[in-house]
Amino acid sequence: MTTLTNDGKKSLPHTHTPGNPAVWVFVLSEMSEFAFFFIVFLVVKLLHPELFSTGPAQLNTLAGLANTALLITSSWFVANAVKATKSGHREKTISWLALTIAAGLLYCAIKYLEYRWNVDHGITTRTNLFFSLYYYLAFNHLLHVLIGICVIGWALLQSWLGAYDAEDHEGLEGAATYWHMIDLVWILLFPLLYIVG
Amino acid sequence: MRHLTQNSLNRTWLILIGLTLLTTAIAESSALTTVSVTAITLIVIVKGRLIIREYMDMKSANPVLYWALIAYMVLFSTAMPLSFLFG
Repeated sequence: MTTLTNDGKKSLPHTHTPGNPAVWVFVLSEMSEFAFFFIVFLVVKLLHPELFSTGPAQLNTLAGLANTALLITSSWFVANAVKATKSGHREKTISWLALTIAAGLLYCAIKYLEYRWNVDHGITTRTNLFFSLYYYLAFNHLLHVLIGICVIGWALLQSWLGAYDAEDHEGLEGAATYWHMIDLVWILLFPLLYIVG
Repeated sequence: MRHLTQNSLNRTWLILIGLTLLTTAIAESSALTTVSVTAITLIVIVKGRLIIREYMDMKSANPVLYWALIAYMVLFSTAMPLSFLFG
């Protein structure tokens, strides 16, 4: 809503975008990269529908479900870390960020077990086009989780050093935004790879 | 339980976990149909919107960025039922 100031000029509604422009350029670049992968996935699906209709049922849905729950929970941890910083609770921020890293590492462990399970069931990158794309997308996402763990680790170190407070926490918001982006992409990947195909 | 749902972040987490379980239940209950794939698509859009608004706290952010994120989720979610129909 537009309001009038004391001198009669119109003022725009207050906006606050988390992070800074550099973070958003990075986040939007990463999302564009995944957008390209989604398009490739859907185009190949239109060309080979039979592979994509049978592929998801052969994957370990439980692993996909567990990793979805983990990423949603890790996003909740990060959001709580930002909230704790805004309230001036440094110790709580550190704890929430440590939980986020733990959830990220658990995600990686489940991915490792899932890949082992796949190999035991004869699912490799060369099985067919669906599984090639599944490995490409899932592994690419895994790399982003690893980058995210490093980013959150950096934010944790900065919090521990007292770099953030209730007024100045742009760096932490940037790290949180990156982590949420990883979660958003997985929200799309889970049904695409494990359910609908 | 009431204490847990009083906080909007906690409430969002519970809804997101519930929607994820619902997605899996729909997929596991029977063979996929256009209706079930459309339901899964709507769930993905709701989940994306919740993450953008509540976790990323984009409610008061630059509207161009906010709507770009929403559009991204809607566009690629909607591609799922379309590819299911025409695939």
